[in-house]
Amino acid sequence: MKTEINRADVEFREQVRTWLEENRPREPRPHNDFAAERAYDCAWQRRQYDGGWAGIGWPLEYGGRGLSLLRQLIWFEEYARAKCPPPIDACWLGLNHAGPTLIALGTEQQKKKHLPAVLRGDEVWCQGFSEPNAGSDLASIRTRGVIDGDYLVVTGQKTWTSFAHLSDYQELLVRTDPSTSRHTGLTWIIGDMHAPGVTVRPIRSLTGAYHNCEVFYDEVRIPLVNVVGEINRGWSVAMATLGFERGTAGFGESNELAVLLDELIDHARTTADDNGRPLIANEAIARDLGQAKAEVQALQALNRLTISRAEGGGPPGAEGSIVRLFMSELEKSVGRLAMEILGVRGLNRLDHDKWTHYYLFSFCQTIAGGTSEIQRNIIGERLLGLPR
Amino acid sequence: MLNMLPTDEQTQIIDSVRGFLRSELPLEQLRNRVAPEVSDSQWRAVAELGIFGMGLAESAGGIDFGATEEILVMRECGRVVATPSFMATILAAHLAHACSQTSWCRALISGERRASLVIAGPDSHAALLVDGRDNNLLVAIDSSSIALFESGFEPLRATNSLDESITLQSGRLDRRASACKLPYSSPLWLRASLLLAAQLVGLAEGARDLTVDYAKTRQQFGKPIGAFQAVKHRCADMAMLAEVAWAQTVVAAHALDAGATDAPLQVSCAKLMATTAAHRNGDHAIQVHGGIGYQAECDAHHFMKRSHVYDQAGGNRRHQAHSILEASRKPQENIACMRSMAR
Repeated sequence: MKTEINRADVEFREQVRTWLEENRPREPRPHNDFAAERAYDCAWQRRQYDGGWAGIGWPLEYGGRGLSLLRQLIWFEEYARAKCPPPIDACWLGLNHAGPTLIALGTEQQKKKHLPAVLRGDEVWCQGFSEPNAGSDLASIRTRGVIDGDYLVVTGQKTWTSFAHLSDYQELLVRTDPSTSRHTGLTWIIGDMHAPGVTVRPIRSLTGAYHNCEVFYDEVRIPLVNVVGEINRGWSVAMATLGFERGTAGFGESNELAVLLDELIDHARTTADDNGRPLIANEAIARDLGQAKAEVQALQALNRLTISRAEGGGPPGAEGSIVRLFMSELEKSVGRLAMEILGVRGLNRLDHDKWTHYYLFSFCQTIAGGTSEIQRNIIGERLLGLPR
Repeated sequence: MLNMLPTDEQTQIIDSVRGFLRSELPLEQLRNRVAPEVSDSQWRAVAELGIFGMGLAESAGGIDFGATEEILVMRECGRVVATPSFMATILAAHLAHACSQTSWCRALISGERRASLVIAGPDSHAALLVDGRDNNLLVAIDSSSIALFESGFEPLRATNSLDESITLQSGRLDRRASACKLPYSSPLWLRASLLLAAQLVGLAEGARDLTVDYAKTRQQFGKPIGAFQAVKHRCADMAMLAEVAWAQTVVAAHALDAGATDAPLQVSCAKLMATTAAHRNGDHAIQVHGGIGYQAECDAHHFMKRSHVYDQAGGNRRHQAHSILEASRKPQENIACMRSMAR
């Protein structure tokens, strides 16, 4: 237990800072124009790739930099500080979710085909886990996969799929053994979103943006070489995927939150209340901001603990649920605090939409990747050993 | 290299301190109305574990570890709700060293002499001496300073301690009598806050463990109560609060050991997070135990009560929230700070 900061890490941070300052997009991300959103996200990802900054923690042989998770975290600290585009964009899932899953459990062929393409911004990925009748009870999914020669023929429906309307590939979890109804009999397969029989219907979320989609499958033929792990053993692959979502994938968001909170503190210092005093002179506001700042610092500390555990090897364990629960609930409480501090101004989205959008999106965060209630079940049962 | 997990050597420290406290000063001993004082032989045994000079240089008679190791010991003390005099003695040795009181320093490290904590209120009349004892040195902490006294405490009023596991004397502290006084935000003031934070994390963890054990064994409606989500989710929140506060406490210890410019911010965040965790877990512990949790014979209430004692020592939650805002006003220049650390 000792953190030694070495010169190479400091120099790395300086290089990141300089590059981001020179290369970050100045124009805002387009809104509700699907083709333009994808083009914006992929162009930014390509620029990062060309600059040598894509896949910092990924293995060298698949186009990554082969550096430590600490360097990856430093990247995200500087990324947020430079006010780069939101970290959760069309490329997020491939980089933080699907990519790490393939690195851990994919075949050589799958890694070679997809990993460099994800890093270049040539491939956009989405998830395909939740269904209308399988939300928190993920193991009850019913979308069927039937083996036909060298193909898996998929029929059914997924829902709440983020960025499906912008995607090329999908982390698709299907039931391949209908004689079982729970965790056994599932298969994790790389789905092609452009294959015949796939229909995507974007859904308008409470933020007003089209973020999630319904996806329908009508006898979609997917080659069996796309199976990650083994047929009927997809549950453990899905748990690894969710482990990444709950652990290391939050680095971008936590640093974005840290910068936004500092801006909110500045706003409270420089904005007057009805009596002409700075908002921060209000005891209740000062106390809430101080508490929020401590919690955001503690989230950063928790990320460092996650790195220490991950460097020990293997995919992240149930501790990731602590990170996810703490981070997502914190995002919501800071968003609510922002609304309180903005006051009437928060009601008109033309004025401070960075904050209002953040607040609205935070309602996604305590649901996606497993609701807060599911995270608490995991912590209770898998970390504390409480009975089911 | 980033490592937030204990090394083999640090695990040995944890194991030896935990083993001693569990056998000699277990939580259950607090069930007596008046907590037994730590005996001379027990105190010497603690000194032999090396905890009182752990963070001091070998030339000063210490072991040359840092705050990073001291928090491991303090966390174990919090788990069994041990006397605050262990922390006071660690801090007294640092203060004695800082003011060149070499003989005090050696006597504190060897266990011949003990120190007691004085929680100094806003005015000099309101000082509270905790677990006072003849011939003990005194370490007084408030939100503006930390000071070492050999004498100068004059008891004035009777007390009835909220936390029955400690004794309290209310009196006046003659500030002019201090042998050594360091201001708010000095490294030793920060160390005191950090050691309080580590004990508060220990309280949060002790409350968590007691509660989880109970939730696994107590049966209602035909099953262990821990199977019900209403109870399970409280336990999960307890685990989260303790883990988050510990992560922040470790980061703060590393910052203090490295002399980083953001150490005041990190330490304040640790004290605030740890206090919140101890308060909430203390509440959860009593609630999950139900009727028995409200009774003095159940161990659950000690965590809640001690959390208030440590909250008020040094800067309390409200004070820390303001310190954090103040500290975050200064630009936290990561690179500049890390450059000085890398040197």
